[in-house]
Amino acid sequence: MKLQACHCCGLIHDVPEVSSGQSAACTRCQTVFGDELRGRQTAGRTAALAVAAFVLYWPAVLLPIVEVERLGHRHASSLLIGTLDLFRHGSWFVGIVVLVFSIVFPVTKLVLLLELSLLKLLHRRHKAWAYRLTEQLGRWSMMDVLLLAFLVMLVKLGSLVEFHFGPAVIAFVACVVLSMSASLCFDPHAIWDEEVSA
Amino acid sequence: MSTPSPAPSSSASFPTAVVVPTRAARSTTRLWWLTLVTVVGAIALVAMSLKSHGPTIKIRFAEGHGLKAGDVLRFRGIAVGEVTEVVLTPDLGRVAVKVQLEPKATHVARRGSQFWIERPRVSLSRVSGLETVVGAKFLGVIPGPSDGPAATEFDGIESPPTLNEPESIEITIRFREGHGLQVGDPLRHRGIVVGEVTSVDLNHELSAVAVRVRLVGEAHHLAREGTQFWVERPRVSVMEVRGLDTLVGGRYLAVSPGHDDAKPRDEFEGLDVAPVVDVPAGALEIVLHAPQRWGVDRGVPVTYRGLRVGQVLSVGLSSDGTSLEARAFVESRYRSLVRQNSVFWSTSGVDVSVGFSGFQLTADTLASIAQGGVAFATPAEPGPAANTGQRFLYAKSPQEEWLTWQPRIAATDAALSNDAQLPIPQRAVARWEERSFGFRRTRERAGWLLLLSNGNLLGPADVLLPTENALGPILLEIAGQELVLVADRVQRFGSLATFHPDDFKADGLTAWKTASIRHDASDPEDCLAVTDSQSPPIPIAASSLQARSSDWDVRSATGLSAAHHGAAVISVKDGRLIGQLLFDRGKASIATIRE
Repeated sequence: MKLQACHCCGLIHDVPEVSSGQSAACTRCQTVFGDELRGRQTAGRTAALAVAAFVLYWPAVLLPIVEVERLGHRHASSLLIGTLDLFRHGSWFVGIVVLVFSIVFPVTKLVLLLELSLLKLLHRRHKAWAYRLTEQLGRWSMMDVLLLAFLVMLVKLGSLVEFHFGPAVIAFVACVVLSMSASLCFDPHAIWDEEVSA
Repeated sequence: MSTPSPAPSSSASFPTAVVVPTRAARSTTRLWWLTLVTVVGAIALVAMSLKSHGPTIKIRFAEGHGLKAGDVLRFRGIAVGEVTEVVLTPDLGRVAVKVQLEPKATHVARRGSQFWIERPRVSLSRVSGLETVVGAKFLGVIPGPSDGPAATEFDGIESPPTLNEPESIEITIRFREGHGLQVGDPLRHRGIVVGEVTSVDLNHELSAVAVRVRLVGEAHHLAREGTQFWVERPRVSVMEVRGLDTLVGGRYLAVSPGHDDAKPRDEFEGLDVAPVVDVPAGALEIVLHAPQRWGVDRGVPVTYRGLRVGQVLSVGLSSDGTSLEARAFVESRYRSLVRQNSVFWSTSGVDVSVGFSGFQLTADTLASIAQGGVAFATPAEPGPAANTGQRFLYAKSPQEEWLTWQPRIAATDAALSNDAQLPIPQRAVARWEERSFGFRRTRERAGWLLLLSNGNLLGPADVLLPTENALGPILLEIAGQELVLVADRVQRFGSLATFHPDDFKADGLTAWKTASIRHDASDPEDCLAVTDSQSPPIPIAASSLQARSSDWDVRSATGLSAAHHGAAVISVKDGRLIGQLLFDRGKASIATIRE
């Protein structure tokens, strides 16, 4: 007999053996219970998405993201250079916000997801810690987009200013979407699956 | 999915999970293709943004003028590159600007390309770069010759060339004095900008100014031996007022080209002052010599009977220092007045003589009071025509008899061979009264008539035979006399007519010899239209004439008007009269004389 809690509603079930093509589901909320194979599959999916997001992360950060033209003064900057410019001009608060939310958090989240789904280098206790961190970071993942929206709004106010998006925007949006998908796909049960099966 | 139903539980406390059919789970995911696509996409994105960059070039400027990274390089108003870096050179002597070119604009970086920093420039001669007052500075470029090899390092120029012509040559002119000439000042020929100053430098000895000038387009023909350059600047004297445009309009270089067939040259000595005038085409150049200067100076007029006919070009000592020599010219229209036995004298200053008869003041033109002048007279029996380079002794004052000489010398034109005379047509007006719509109206028709040696007046038929229904006689006013046009004395042939007046007093009028009339002119040829002696003959080229029976139509009637109706037309070839010019309703034609 194998007891398993539904990870949606928490009701504990007696999970019977199922054959291929079948799954056990919660009697209360119809959530499908993960099994070892399914866990491995979601881990693979997460890994694929995380790798894709990780690849896109670099052009998103390094290529020019906005081009501002004001009275002929043209300035194109990438996320990284823009952040460094903010620091150089003494805008420490905004600089730190952009640096943390747009550069540090996404890459940390991606690295952690990769570790959890693909690399599996950490000890299980650290895995739990990594997973919690991923969850926390994920909540802030929209913050940078919000900031960008504010920036566009402010810049658009000046009628003499022209504002263009650079190629990095595509990479950035794709990266955000992929990393969100990756964290949605991730089934935390997979972290401990191997120990269960061992 | 089947409807889940509660399963019987084996142990009372836990429900048994329902079994639902799902897709078979696989140990690996098919999602890796997405990763692959993403990798390819990322590589493409990076490649694209790297590829949109052309080569980087480096330009050195003496001044940065506030240029900074992000400013653009423009060619013909289009951005073709972007400044990536502005740094001082290690020796702090110059500013090095690195420019990332766009791939489409790699060709602007080749040897000979000129770069400058566009900035607001407001000077008396021009206003440019106003867009950079509030906007960003930008770099401008004019590419070098199209066959030039690619280059990556350039020396920038201070100001944009005004003439955006890639085809140009540079010449050097040395001046003793710069007169405030600046880089960018134009070189003008006949009032048109044909080049510009690209640099003004002192030489090592600080004794001269070397001005480099870029000549564009056709102006490169100016770079030949004999071409004279000078700095035009305001000059006001009794003789002339010139260069006033440079008072407010900035200095410019002026040029007087050398001879057409002179050898090319690219180094010149500039003149301190403008040459007096260009010697007009066909003018007679003569040399005057005298023991003293007697008020003769460069630029003073040469007069005949007080009328200005030429100018003194230069004054200097003869080679052995024994006398003073002056070079002068007489305009082509008046060159026939100068004969080998002509005499010249100075008219400078005011001649005040107080005698028993009273106070006498003699002066020539206002200019000659201040600056002097040269007058000449030709004896009543004129000698052979003077030739270019003829030397004349020049006296301090005229002898009495010189002033009484009254030679008859026909004015001629340079286009005609020597001694060919010009006819002197007389202005005539035919007046008559006629009835139109029941009213009597006075009508008139004016034109030029030519007195022939057989006593006939030759003229347009519409002046000599204006109408057949005149009320009363048709009066012809000519040479201060009034004649009655009698129809049976008028003989018409084609568009011309002759009138033989019986009571015409032709004293003092020059009649045109009938022997000098050519009747067989059939093909258009180069000719001159002559009216009175005060206005120069109007040359009409054969190429602008079109034969139409006995008349030749003048294709372009520029310079001709109704005032030339009846002008005598003589052939340039032999100086003979071949017809008369008719002008009717805006169209000019030449009526040739037939038998």
